[in-house]
Amino acid sequence: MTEKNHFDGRNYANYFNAHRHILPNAELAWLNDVRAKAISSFIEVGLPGPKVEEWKYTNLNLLKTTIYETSEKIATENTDIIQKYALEGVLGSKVVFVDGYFNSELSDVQKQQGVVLTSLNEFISANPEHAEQVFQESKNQDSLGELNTALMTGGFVLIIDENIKLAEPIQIFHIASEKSQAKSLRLKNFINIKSTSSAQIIEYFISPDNIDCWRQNVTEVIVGEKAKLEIYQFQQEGNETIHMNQTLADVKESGNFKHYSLNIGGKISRTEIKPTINGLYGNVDLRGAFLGRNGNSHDVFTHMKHMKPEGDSNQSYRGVLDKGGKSAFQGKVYVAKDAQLTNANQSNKNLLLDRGAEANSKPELLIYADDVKCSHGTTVGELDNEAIFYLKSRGLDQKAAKALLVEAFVAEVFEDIKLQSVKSRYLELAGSWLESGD
Amino acid sequence: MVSTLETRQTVEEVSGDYKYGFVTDIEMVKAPKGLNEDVIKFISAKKKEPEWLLEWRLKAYKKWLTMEEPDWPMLDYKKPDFQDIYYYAAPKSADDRPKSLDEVDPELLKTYEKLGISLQEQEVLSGVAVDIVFDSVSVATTFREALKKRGVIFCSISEAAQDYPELMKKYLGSVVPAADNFYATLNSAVFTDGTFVYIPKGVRCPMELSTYFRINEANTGQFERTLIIADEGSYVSYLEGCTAPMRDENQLHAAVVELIILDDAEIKYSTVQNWYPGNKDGVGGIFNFVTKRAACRGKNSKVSWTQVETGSAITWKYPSCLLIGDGSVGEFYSVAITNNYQQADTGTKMIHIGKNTSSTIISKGISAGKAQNIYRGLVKVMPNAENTRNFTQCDSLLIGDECGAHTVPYIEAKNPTAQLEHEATTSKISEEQLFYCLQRGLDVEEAVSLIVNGFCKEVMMQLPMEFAVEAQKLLGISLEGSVG
Repeated sequence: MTEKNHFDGRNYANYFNAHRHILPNAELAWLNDVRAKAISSFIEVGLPGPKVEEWKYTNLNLLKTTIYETSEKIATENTDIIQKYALEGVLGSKVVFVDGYFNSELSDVQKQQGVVLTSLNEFISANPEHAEQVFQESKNQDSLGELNTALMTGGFVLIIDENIKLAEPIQIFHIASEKSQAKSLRLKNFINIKSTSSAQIIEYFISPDNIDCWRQNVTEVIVGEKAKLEIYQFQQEGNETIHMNQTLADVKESGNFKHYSLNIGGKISRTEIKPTINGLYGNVDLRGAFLGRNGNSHDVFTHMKHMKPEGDSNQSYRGVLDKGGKSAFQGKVYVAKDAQLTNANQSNKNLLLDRGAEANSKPELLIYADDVKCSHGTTVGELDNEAIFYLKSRGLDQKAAKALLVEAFVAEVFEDIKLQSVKSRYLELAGSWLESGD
Repeated sequence: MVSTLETRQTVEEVSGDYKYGFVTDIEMVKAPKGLNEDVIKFISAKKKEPEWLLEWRLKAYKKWLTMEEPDWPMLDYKKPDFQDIYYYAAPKSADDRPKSLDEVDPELLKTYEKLGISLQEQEVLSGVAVDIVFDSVSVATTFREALKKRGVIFCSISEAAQDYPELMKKYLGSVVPAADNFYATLNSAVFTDGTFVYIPKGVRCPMELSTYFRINEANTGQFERTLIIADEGSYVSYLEGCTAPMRDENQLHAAVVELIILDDAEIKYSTVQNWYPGNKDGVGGIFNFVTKRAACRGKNSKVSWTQVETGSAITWKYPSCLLIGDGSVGEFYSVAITNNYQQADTGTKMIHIGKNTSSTIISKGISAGKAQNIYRGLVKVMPNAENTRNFTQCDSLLIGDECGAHTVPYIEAKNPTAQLEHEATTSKISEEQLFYCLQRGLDVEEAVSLIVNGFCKEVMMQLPMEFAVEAQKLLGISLEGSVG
């Protein structure tokens, strides 16, 4: 009674065979092999159905029959969009993808000694051997990851040599145009921060309303010894977009990985973060918020693996659900037998603002080491009426009072962000989300 | 499924022209090995069951044939061969039992002693064939009379099927439907015996009911079925199991417990489960796969599950509460201890359906040796369940570095007025606590037992007096050999 019986892989197999020659770098035999192997692994397992525990709360039935065709490269149309979203005062490189392809006109990639920042397709054609090795070492963890590898149209590569601290954050824009209707946008990204180096990345996911497209990003991260990586994501997709974003991180000894996300848009939004601490004293911090209404379905899935001793991890997610919004937080902490003296915390708090809102939470602990401190907490509730009353008595109207409380509720997870412009953008978006409601 | 030759022959031997091709031979003590329709007919005939119940069993059996054994629990065990099991065996006759305590496994006796069980009770527990079981016969008789006076029905489920068919028809399978899940369906097809309790309107049951006093039904076998109905405004406290270690030849135990609670009624259901957990190397031991569910159908009804799980090689159960009536309350208090190679995947489900319902979950898991202990629980709030409250706390304690403790909670809210809280921690016994106890003159095992008892106190306090004292000692015994 497995789900794959209901899944007809032929659609995807046929599609792949008909289109493989037009995918970027199709002339490279090894890449062709990588893609072909990936598609057959995907077809073998199929799309995850509702019986698959990890996908319990997000239904992908519509992907079983509809094929979202691979997006095509388009000419630059809207140059203002970058100005609109870019953070002021952030001077680092800007990397822009439009409909799944790197756009060199809109991008601004600054050269720096010891830093490789380039599009995946360029990286592959310029260093095919290195690229081949990167793909050999890459490990897809699920069938959707395989599908991504098979049909990816690009991505970015960031490699930072030892002992380099990037002064300015890199901004990466994932933009979908009106032409992405019924298209899939698949990017595969590689980030490798070598020992004692550090970097900050800000990612934006933007698509227009009423455009039904499927975005699927997979990012593989290596955080070297004593290295540090911070990722900040703003997911502001249109109301019809399917947004899937998976981050796999390999954290080495004393490595430090931080991941912040805010999810606002999309009809299906799935943020998967799977960090593994593979060295002593690894440190991982995952934080974020999801705000949903009117058909938004947010699913945040974390799988935090502690493989080595004395690691710390912290997860904190807040959900705010209004009428027609649905959310799921599925967090998993795995502590291996050797990972003694681990500290792991997990927290998920949800606010339900109205009828027809739904919040699901599954904070899971799997612990095989005895000398650890692990905890998790979850709450679901509504806004405190007394707090609203207090604010109203101070002259705020109902809506403003609610907005203020929601903003404060969400603000907690973004409190520790040192980049002021990023922090205020997060709060701004959360505040305006509530005001845009009825 | 093709019936084995042995089965067919036996059935043919005993069958005549009866409608089901079958006459009961009361003298036959065992149904042939394996499972098929004839075996079910045999069990049903043996129990002199009405026709509708046989139909019900057969329907369940047909459904069961189409079902697959679930593999989602985090349990590692060899799936039972369902054709290699005896589904019916009459209680042992006096000749087969040990003649005196001298014939009983000395290790078992040692444990009895530690629990402080009297010699006479030891004889009963280890199945020694005594002609008159000291006082308990008369005690039981007195009890039954007292219950009868108040209109409480307390009998075996087979008796109920004959004597109270209306109640049985109305409630059997109404909480755990015959096709509910793999093991519950199997139970529906082949249940051999169990307890039936009915508390009439407005009656507060004068004493705590326990299978222990239903001595004529001591051996209920491996497929037990319990059905308790608390009518409007009534109250009953029911005790299941006992602290004494229970040995059983049957490896698979798949029981079903159904509770029905009507307006303003309350059921308190306490379990102490101490089946044989297997030896130190994980050989043998009972598989305890139980479906327990309570339906709070009435307004302001209340159910409280308390369980102390120390035995069984594998425990797989989730006593659940369907909070249907407005203002109904569900409680779940659990201590699960696993040592050596034991595995437990246990927890609860609280389904909030009515308005102003509330639930509390307190779960304490203790894992030692090479054991795995999993809390798995669901709190679900349906769209019309206004003003739901839930508080969940599940704490795990790890003793030794080869065991595992896992927490898998599901929280699903579809109503904005719900207030749900869940918290969980995992830790080990702190060195300071242990050191303090040691310097006060306790040895390591006593110290661990003391600390574990403190860790479980919130749950132990919920146990009825009958259990509480022995259960405390039991915690210590279950953890023997886990430290030092």
